[in-house]
Parts: sequence; C-alpha cells; structure tokens
Amino acid sequence: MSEEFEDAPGMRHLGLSPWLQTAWDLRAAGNFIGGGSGTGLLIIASLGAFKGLYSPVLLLAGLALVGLGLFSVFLEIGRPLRALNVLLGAKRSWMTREAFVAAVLFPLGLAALIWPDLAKLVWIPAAAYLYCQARILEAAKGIPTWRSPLILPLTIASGLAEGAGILLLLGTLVLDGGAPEWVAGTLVATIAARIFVWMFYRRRMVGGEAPVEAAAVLIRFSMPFTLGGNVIPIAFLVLGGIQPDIRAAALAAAGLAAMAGGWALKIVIVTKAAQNQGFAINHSPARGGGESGPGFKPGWREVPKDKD
Amino acid sequence: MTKWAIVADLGRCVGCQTCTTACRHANATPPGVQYRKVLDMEVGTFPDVRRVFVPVGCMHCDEPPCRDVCPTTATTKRADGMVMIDYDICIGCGYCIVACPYQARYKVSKPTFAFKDQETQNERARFDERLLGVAQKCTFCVDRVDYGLANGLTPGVAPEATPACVNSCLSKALTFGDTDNPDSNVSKLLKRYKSFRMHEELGTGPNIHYLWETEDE
Repeated sequence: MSEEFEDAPGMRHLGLSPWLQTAWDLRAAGNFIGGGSGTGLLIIASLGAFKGLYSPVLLLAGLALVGLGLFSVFLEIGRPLRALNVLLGAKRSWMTREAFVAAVLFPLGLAALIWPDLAKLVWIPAAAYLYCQARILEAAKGIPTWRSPLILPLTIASGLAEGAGILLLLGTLVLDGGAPEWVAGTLVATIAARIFVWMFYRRRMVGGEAPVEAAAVLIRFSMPFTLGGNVIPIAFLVLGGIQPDIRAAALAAAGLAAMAGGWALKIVIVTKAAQNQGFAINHSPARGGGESGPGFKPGWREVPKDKD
Repeated sequence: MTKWAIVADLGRCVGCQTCTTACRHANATPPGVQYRKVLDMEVGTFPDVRRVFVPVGCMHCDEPPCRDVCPTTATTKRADGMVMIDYDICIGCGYCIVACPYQARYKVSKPTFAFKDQETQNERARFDERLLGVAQKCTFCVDRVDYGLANGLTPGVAPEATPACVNSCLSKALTFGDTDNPDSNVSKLLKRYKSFRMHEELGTGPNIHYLWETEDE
C-alpha cells in the first residue's frame, strides 16, 4: 500500500473495519422516502377526515408516493420477474408484511376516492405500512445504524413530519383556503418528536453503538438536518403566523423544508451512514511460546472485553 | 440431532489463503466473491503486536438474520443447521445481504470471470446462471456433505464428505463436524480448548468457533 495512504482513516484496516454497504442504494432509500411520506400524508389526511377534511388529491398523492417507493425498490431487485415471491415470507419478514399491507392500502385508498367515508379508515393500513417500514430497517442486524431500536420512532416520526409537511404544501396549492389550522400544529408536534428522537439516536450511535465512520456521517449531517429540516420549518410557521400577507407561501415553504429534511434523513441513513458490522475477534491467539492477547474490533470505539 | 459447524484454530492458521482458493475453485465464484476468506489482522501497538489470521464466511447461524428478513423464503435453515438459499425463489432484493452481520452474502448481476470475458475451463464447467441476480454464499459444501452422508461417510472425517476449505487447510486450522455429537472432532476441540464466536452479542448463534489458546499444557 502506498505510504501516503497508510495512515489515512479506514485504510489501515481495509476489509476489516466496517465499510459502507452497497446492496441498497438510492432506489432502496426511495422506498423509505415514498413509503414514509406517502403513509404520513395518508395518516394525517385520513385522521383529518374526522374533522371534515377530504381531498381526493391528498389521497392520490399519498398513494402515488407509496407506489413510487415500491416501484423504486422494484427497480433494484435482481430478478424482477419473480417480484411476487415477495409475498411468500409473511411468517418472518417485514418486507412481506409491508407488501401485504400495501395490498390493503391501495384498494382502500382508491375506494375512498369513490366513497369519501372510507377515507376515515385509510389511516389504519397507512400506519401499519409505516410501521412495517420501520421494522424493515430494524431487522437488518448487519447495519448498526439500522438495527437500533430508536430507528422505529425515528422512522415513524419522520414519516408523519414529512406527511404533515406535504399536506401543508399541497394544501396551499389545492385546498380552498389552504390546509386547516391544525395541520401546522401537527407539523410542529411531529417535527418536535422527530428532532427529539434524532438527538437520542445520534447520541447512542456516536456513543459507540455504530462504527466510527457511520457516527462521523451522522455528526456531519446533524447540524444541516436540525436546522434545515426542523428549525427552518418552524421558523417559517412562525413567520406565516406574524405576516398574514405571506402566510400561504410561508406555510408551503415550511412543509417543503420538513419534507426535504425527512428525505435527506433517509438518504443519509440508508446510503451514507450504513456501514456494516465489520469483523472482530474477542482474543488474539497464543503463537509459539507467546501468550494470547486482547481482542480487536477495528473501526469501533470499544474493543470487546476479555471475559476470561 | 445434527448441527454442522467449523472450528477454526487461530493459533494454527498461517493466512496462506489455500482455503480461499479451494473454495473459489470448488464454487467457481466470480471476482470479488469469496465465500471463505482469511482476514489478516494486526492487533496491538508496537512493540506489543500480534498478527492474527481469521477465517470468515457464512456462519450458518442458529438464528440467522438473513432467514428472518427474507421476504421470499428463499433462505432457509435445514434440520442439520445449514443455512441455504433457493436460487430459484430468491428475487435478489439484497435484504439478506444487509441483514448479515458477517458480510457473508453476495449478489452478482452479470457473468464475470477471472480473466474478464474469458472463462477458465473450471468456470465454464461450474457456471450456474441461477446465481445471477440473486444472493449467494457459502453452503458448507452441502453437496459434499450430503453425498458423504448418503454413502455412509462422516463429514469432517472423510475428505469426500468434507467442505473444500477444510480439506485444503495445510495447517489443520479448520475442522468440520457435528457439534451436537459429543464425540465428534469439533466437540472434542471445543471441550478441550477455549473458544469464542464472532459478534456473539448480536444473538445470531454463529457456527464458526474460534479457538484462541491451543498451546498444549
């Protein structure tokens, strides 16, 4: 190896330290983006139906986002002609369960376009779908940043924040008088939940639950995400509240920023902070007349403790 | 019951990569795909430094995360503990690849050969189109094991019934056998020497055991 690279981070233990997974790329991230935003929008729009909110455009937009997410992941599979085999693993796989929930969500969502009362039921499969997505990530034991239990609330909170953001954005464009007042409050609540979980998640990852390289990605992403995806939307909401003449634009901008923050979060977690487990040993062996030595876990903050 | 496992003696492994080569020949894996590989670790800081060679691959886990996430049931676990992939069912979604904490699974979409577009005789003979676009990994040379069992041979003892990597190991660092049989070669090694398993804290129950202190008293 060239001397100039010998001390470069990650070069010394190339092939031992965790490295970025390449099995899932932006197409896979697209499934979490479309699925999260789409179901988030459908959940909030469906619950809004109890308060008189009904818009075929919102329903269609939510279903389209979920559909685009599924199409995105379809583009990634190696044997697309066998795609329906995805339905075989319901006993264990959250990916299969997601597909089954989609088979309920789409007919119900489309039926709600004809019978508006059904819109009040759409939140049930939408919430189940969002939960399945979170569990898909959590079940991937090979990727430390995904298997964290905090990925569940983070994915769900982000999906809801994205959905509220899209509702604000679309509401400005397609609803008479814009989105209802309570949507802005919902966006604040979901953003608060998202940033609250994010802080704990980031702290745990940086604290040793993720490889150093993955933690570094999260550290670099933290400030732009906190400001761009969470603080700025709230600032726009405040601005819209105190400046009625630009209220519609401010609400739309708040929604857009909240949505973009969630999308960026998923791109980063799925494709950039997705270092695998790497390799480790608990002990190094005795050789010849020497003694056995400590363990080795390159790319991580802590070495496994010697139990003996 | 039977539970096949490999015991790797870290004190014996010299990092010669013969097992890697034997595996690549036996499975005709394309460039970049190594079901069995030997890691070269430098542990410690000068002057207290150790060199360790660690054979890794599919651990045929007791609780394989790859099986748990597989949406198609292509990944299954046999009664004898071997984790297998049905290449005719797998859709190549890659979920098992990210679920495996041992980086033991691969996906290759196009035929690739050691000498670019020139197949070697072995590659031509063993090329299997079913492996394109799907997940693939070590099978503990299941065909050899099953052949041996069908012919009254003991896997891990009879070379015809033993995985290629174990057969090829020139320092006898690798041993294959049945950990459910207390009298088997691997059970005796595990009883006699200290061992650990990689990433045991993840609860996968890996079935490659590493011996780390085998100097005779």
